[in-house]
Amino acid sequence: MAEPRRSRRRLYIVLGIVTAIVIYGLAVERTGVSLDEITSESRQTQLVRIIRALARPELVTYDFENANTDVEFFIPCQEDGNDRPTTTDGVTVTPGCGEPEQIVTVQGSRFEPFAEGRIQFIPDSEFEVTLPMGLFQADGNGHFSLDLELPDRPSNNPQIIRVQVPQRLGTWTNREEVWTDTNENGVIDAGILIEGGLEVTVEGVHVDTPAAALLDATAQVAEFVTTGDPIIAVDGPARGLTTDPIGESHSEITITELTVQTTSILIRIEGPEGTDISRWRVAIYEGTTGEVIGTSFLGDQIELSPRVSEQTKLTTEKIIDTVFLALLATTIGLSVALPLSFIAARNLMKDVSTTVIGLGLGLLAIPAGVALGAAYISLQRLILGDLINQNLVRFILVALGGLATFLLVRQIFLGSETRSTLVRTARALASMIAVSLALEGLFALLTQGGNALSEAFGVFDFVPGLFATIGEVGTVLLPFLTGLIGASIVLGLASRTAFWLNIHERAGLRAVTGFVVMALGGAVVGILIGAAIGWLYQIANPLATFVVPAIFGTLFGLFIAERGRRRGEIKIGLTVYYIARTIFNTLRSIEPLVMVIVFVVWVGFGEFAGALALALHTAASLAKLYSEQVESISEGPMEAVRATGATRLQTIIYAVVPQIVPPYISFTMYRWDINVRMSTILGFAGGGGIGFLLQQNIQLGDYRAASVQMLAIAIVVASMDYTSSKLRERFV
Amino acid sequence: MLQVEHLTKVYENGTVALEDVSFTLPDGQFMAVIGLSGSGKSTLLRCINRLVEPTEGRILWHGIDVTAAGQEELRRIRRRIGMVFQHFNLVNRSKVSTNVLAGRLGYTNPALSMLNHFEQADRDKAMKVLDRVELVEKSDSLASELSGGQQQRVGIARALMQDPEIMLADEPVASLDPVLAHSIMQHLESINKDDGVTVLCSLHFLDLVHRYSNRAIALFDGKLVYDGLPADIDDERFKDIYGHEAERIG
Repeated sequence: MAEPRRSRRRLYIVLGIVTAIVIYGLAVERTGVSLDEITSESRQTQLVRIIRALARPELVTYDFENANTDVEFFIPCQEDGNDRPTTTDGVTVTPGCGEPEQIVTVQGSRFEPFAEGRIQFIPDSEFEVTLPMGLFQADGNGHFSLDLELPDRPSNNPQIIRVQVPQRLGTWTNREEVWTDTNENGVIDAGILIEGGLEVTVEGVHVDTPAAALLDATAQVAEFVTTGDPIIAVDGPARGLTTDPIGESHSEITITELTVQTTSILIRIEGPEGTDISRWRVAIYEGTTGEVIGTSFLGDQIELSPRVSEQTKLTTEKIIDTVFLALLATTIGLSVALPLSFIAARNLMKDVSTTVIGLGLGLLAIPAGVALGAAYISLQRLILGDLINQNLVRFILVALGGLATFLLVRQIFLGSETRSTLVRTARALASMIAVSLALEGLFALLTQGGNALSEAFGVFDFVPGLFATIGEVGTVLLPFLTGLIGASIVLGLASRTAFWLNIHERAGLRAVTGFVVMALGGAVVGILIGAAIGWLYQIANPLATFVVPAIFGTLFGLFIAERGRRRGEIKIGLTVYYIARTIFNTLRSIEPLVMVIVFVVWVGFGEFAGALALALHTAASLAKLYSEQVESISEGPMEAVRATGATRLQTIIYAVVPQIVPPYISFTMYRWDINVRMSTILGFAGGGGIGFLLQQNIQLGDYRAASVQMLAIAIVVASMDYTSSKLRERFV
Repeated sequence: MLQVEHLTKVYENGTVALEDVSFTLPDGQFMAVIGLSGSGKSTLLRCINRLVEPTEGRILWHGIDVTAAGQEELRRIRRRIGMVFQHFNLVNRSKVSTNVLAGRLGYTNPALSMLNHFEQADRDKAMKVLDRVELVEKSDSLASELSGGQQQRVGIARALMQDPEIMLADEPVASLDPVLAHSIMQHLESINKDDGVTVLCSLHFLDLVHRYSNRAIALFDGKLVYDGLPADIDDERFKDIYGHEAERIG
C-alpha cells in the first residue's frame, strides 16, 4: 500500500526537477544571458566610462584656463644632425627633431596627478593653426609618456609641440570672476565688441514693441532706434528724440537687432571690433508711448567660477514639478478612491439586496435621472445665456442660490423624517435647481476673478490661478453633478414606488409588474450598451446597435426577474462589488507609464498628462487597498450599531470609519511614496517631470548630466520614504 | 409580548441552526437561553432583531410581524430592542461617549448624525447611563483602553440609550471572569427589575441561570428541548440539554 505511493511521489519529484530545469533553461535562453557580452573589452570600457560619469554628477560648472607647455621642434632635422631630445618645463620630446610622419615619444612630468590634457602641433604658418596629435592622462605621479606621429609639415623654422592642460578656474572658497567667451576667441564677450556683434540680454522686461536708446560712457545718446513706427521719447535719457528705424542708423556703434523674448529683450550691438563698451548703457523704451522702462549696463555680464550648473538648476526645477505632480495625482486618486472603496468591500455589499421591482425601476430611473439633470443644466444655461457674463447676475445667483440651498438643506437635515413622497421629491428637485444656480454663478465668478487677479498677484499669480482653474473645472463638471443629483432623486422616487408596489400589489400582480419593469430596464441597459458599442466601433447600423441589444436586454431582464422571483430578492450589492473589483483590477494592471501615452494624446505632453495617468492608477489601487481594509475590519461593532436601528450609512460612519482611518492614512502615505517614485519616470513616456530630462540626457549620452537627475531622484525618494514611514508610525 | 412561532434558520452552507422553535416571552420576564456552543442560542437572539434573517417562521412583537417588516419599519423595531454581545462589540478606536451615543442612532436624523451631531438631550442621557454603569469618568477614554468588565458596561450603556423594551444579551459574561460576571448580571437584573425591561439572555453557567432568571429555555442542535423554570432542570434534563457525556458541576 505504502510502496506504490512512495514511488509515485518519487516520480513526481523527478518530474518536478525536470520541469524546473526546462523552464529555467528556456528563461535563460529567452533572456539572452550572454557572458561574451559581459566580458567583451569594448563593452567594459564603455561601462567604466559611464559608471565614472555617473559617479561625477555635473552639479557645478567650472570655467577652464589652458596651461600650455611649448617645446620647439624641427621638421625635418637641421644640417648639424643634432637630434638630441629637447626639454622644456618638464616636457621632453625624443628625438629632438624628425622627419614628417615619424614617430616621436613625448614624455611629461611634474603635472598634477591624473591630469588630463592634449598634445597639439603648432606649425609654422601665417594663420593660427593647431593640429591635434593626441590625448593623455598623467599617472598618479604626474608622469605620462606617449608615442605620437609627426604631421607632414616640413619647415626650416622652428615649430612647436604644445602640451595643453585645461585647468579649472576658482574653488568654492575662492570663486573667480570669468568673462563669458561664447565664440572661444579668447576675447571677453561682455563689454568688448567682437566680430558679429555683441549680444546683450536685458532681463525682467516685457514690452510688445520695444525701442532702445544706446548711451555711451558719458551718458550721451549714441542712437535711438525702434522696430515699430517712429516715436518721440517722452522721458528718460532720450527725451525729445525721435527714433530711427533699426539698422538704418549711421552711428559707428549701432544696435542691429532688438528681439522680444518672454521676460527679456535681446539686443545685438555691432561696431569696430575690440571697442570697450562695458560702461555703455542701453535704455529700453515702450515703443508706442515713448516711456522709458529701464536702463542696463552692457558690461555687467560677469560670471563666477565655479558656479551651480545649468543642469542642476533645471533639475531642481523639474524635481519640484515632479513632487507636485505626485501630490496632485495622489489627491485626485484619493478623493475618487475614498467613496468607491466602500462599494468594493464585500462585507458591506453582500447584504445589499433589492426586489425585482426595485431593480427594474432602478435601471429605468438612473438613465432617466441623469437625463433629467443634464436636460436641466442645458435649460439653465440656455435661459441664463449671456447674462452669466455679468458680475451682478453672478453675485445674485450665488447669493440667492446659496440661501435657497442653505434653507433646503436645513429642511432636509432638521425636518421631520416622515413626509409624503411628493414633498420629498419636490424638495430634492428644488435643491438641485438651487445648488446648480449657485454653483454656476460661483464657478463663473471664480474663473473671472482668478484671471483678473492674476496680474495683481505678480509672482504669486498661481494663487488666483488655482481659483480660476477650480472655476473652469467646476463649470465643465457641473452637468455631471446635476446628472448625479437627478439620478439620485429619480432613484429615490423609484425605490419608494417599488416599496409601495411590493406591499400593496397581490403576489400575482407583483410578479407581472416585476417582469414588465425588468424587461423595460433590461432593454434600456441593452440600448445604452449598444449605443456605446456603436460609437466605439463606428457601427451605423440601427439593427445591430439598437434592436438586437434591446431584445437581448429584455430577455436578460426577464431572466433576472424570473430568478429574483424564485429567490425573493436580488443580491444587487454583490453584482456592484464584482463590477467595481473588475474595473479596479483592470485599471491597476495597466502601468501608469502606458496610461500616460493615452493622456498625452488627450491633453498634450507634460506634467498634466502624467498627473492624470498617475491619478487614475492611484484611484484604482487605493480603492482596492482601502476596500480590503474595510473587508478586514471586525464585524462586531457593525453588528452592534446595526442592532440599534441605525441606517446603513450611519453604520458605516459609526462602526466602519473609525476602524479604517489609521490604515487609510497609512495607505495614502504609502501611495504618495509610490507616486513620487513613479512620477520620476513618467517623463520617459511624455508625462513631464524629471523623467523627461533624464531620458533626454541618456539619449544624448550625457551621463554626467543624467547623474544629476538620478541623484535628485534618489534624494527625493529617500527623504519621502523616510518621512512617510515616520508619519505612518505615528498613525498606526 | 414576544411570540416566536416555528422559527427555522438554515444558513447558506446548509447548516440548520434553528429548527421549528416556538415560545412566548411575556413582558417583564428574565428568560435565560441555555445550550451547548453551536446549539443555536446566538442565532435565535439575532433572528429576533433580524441581524440574521430567519428562513421560516414568524416573530411577533406586540403583535407586529418583525419578520415581514420593511427596512424603515425594521429600524423602528430595532431601536426598541437593546442588545449586548459576548465580545462587547464596541468600536475600539472611538471614545466611550461616542460608543454610548451610537445607541441613539435609530432615533437621530440620519443626515445630522453624519456630522457627528447629537442633540443635547441625547448627550445628557449618555452621561446619565454612563453614571448608572459607573463609568462617567471614562467617557473621554478610547473604548480600547478599558478593561473587559468596563467594556461590557459600556455595551450595556449603549443598549440603555435605546430606551429598550426588551434586552437581548448574547452570552454577556462568557468573556469575563466570574467576579465581573456577577457585576454585569446585576446590571441586567436591575434593568429587568427596576426598569421593567424584558430580558432574553443566553448563558453558559447554570448557577447564573438559577441565580438571575425566572424562566429558562434550552436548545439542543437547534431544537427547543426545554421550556420551564430554572429550578426544574434535574440531572436527566441536564443530560438532554448538554448531551449524555456531560458532567454536572456546581
